[in-house]
Amino acid sequence: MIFAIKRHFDARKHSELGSLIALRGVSRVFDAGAITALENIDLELSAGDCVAIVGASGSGKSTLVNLLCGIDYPTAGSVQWEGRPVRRRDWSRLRRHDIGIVFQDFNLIPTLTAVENVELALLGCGLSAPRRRNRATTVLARVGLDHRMNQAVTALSGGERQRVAIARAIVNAPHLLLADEPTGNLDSASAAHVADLLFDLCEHSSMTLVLVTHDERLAQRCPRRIRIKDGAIIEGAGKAASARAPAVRAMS
Amino acid sequence: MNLIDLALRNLMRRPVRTGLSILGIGLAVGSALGLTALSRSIQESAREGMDEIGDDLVVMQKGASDVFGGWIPEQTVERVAAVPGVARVAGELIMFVPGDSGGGSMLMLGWPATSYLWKKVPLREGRVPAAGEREVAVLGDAVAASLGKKVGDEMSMLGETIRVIGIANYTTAVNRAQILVPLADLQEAAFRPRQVSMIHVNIDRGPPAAELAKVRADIEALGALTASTADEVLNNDRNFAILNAVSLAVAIIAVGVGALNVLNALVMATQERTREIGILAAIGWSNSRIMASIVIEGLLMCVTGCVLGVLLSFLVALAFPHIPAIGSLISFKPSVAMIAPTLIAALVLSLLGSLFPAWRAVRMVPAEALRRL
Repeated sequence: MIFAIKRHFDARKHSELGSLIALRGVSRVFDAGAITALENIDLELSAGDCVAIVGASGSGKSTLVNLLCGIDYPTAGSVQWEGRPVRRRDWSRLRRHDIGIVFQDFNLIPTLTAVENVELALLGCGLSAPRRRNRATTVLARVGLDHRMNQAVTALSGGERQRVAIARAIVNAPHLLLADEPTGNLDSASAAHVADLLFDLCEHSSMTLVLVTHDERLAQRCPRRIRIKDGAIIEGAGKAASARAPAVRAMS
Repeated sequence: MNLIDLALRNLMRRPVRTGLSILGIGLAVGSALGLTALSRSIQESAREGMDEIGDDLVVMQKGASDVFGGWIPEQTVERVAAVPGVARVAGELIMFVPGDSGGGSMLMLGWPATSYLWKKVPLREGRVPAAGEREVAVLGDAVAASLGKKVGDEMSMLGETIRVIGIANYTTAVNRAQILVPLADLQEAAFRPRQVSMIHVNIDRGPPAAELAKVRADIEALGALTASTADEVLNNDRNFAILNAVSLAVAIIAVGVGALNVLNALVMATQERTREIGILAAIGWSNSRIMASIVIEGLLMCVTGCVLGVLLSFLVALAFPHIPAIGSLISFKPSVAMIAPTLIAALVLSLLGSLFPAWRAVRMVPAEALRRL
């Protein structure tokens, strides 16, 4: 099963050594400029990077992740994907095929089962219903939920829900997986399980992992760490030291 | 799992609201269909009645707004009869008269004793008036039943007492509800001496269209007359035009209210599910796909409501003939041609009603939607 997923991931086209996604002079303000969440950020992530973004609450970590996956838009600067500026209308396609997101509070559809939640991410990808179900089932088995896939997500524990969310995020074999405080709402045992799962997925694929966390021990497991304070990158500006490849360059 | 499954699942989350919305659409569509069918059925019943009489042409006063509103001198009947190609003619005075016991009006027709129309009356019992016989009547079986009259009974007409001498067994609702009397009696009672409302015309059989056009032209050349087919008479009848306009207006309002039900239900549903819509956007659903899922919800409600509305209208159609006050006057027959425009209008309006909440849903930045509770 693992190999099937890995084959699927490895079959994906991506630029192994080039820039995957980059922020160029990006700022994000709210309330007509009253609140500056991010200011003049330059950041470049390459394929295969494993990056932790750390910082205090309100420092701008989640805003940064939102901009990296296009569920929010910068008020200044631009976002580039594989060297090309991303237009607003491109984001849904990128999230459908190339970017997976895991949220702190899971963000699953409560009326659907685990496998149906995962299938949702495959609608519009040109797959037949049986192939969608087959792929969702395979990925749920990969995250250890093959015995719970037909359960309503409301009947699952927090750790299980987060694993469903991870399965949904990786079911399209994305190039970039963004995890925003994925263990923030979990007990320690579930948190460890989810963290192991994320690093294992990263280990067995060429996927870029961006992990937003408060947990310094979790951040230490990433080859590269970026620290944010008051909307600016204060640490991690040097060249990335990924175990697999040059990981993160925080430029500025 | 596909868009329809998801839409159904979302609708079932709020079964009471969904049910009430569907009921609202059903009642709206049912009302619209009922009104449309009713007005068309009235017209259709009149058309069937005229067809049963078997006219090729109906001659009326030029400019008359309806069959009750024109007056023709009785001697004109002979002039029309003399037009080449005309096989036979019959003058007719037609009017509503107060009911026997003062309640409601009855359709009364006066025919000359020599009219060929008397020979075509399908008598169930009794007879038609003899030449020169006065103060007698032949009743349609429906009006006879509603008045409780049988052959030999007496009834009053505009202050005169008349005797029932026959019961006619017409098949159409309009003709079953009419009272036939000698023309002279009705002219006298209605203060319309030597006047008729219309002239029934049968033409000699020949090439139909050409023959009909020539006879029409010749009749109209007599002056101040219009010769029309039964269809044309009804289509030009101002009463039917007003009835149709009122029915159409009320039907549009009813269907519009149904569409507002869809709009209201979907606005509430999408507001409640703002966060879920943000989730769908976050996992890569395009705006068009998100909008499609919401529009499908609206259309599913509308289609179900339309089915309910059609069933209601057919139930009404089945029930109306058994209500004497309605069934004795008109036949109520919903048809596909009648239903289709109402259903299309309901679907189009519901589609428009779904597009607004769908557009509102995708207008929000996904991150903002995800922050909603």
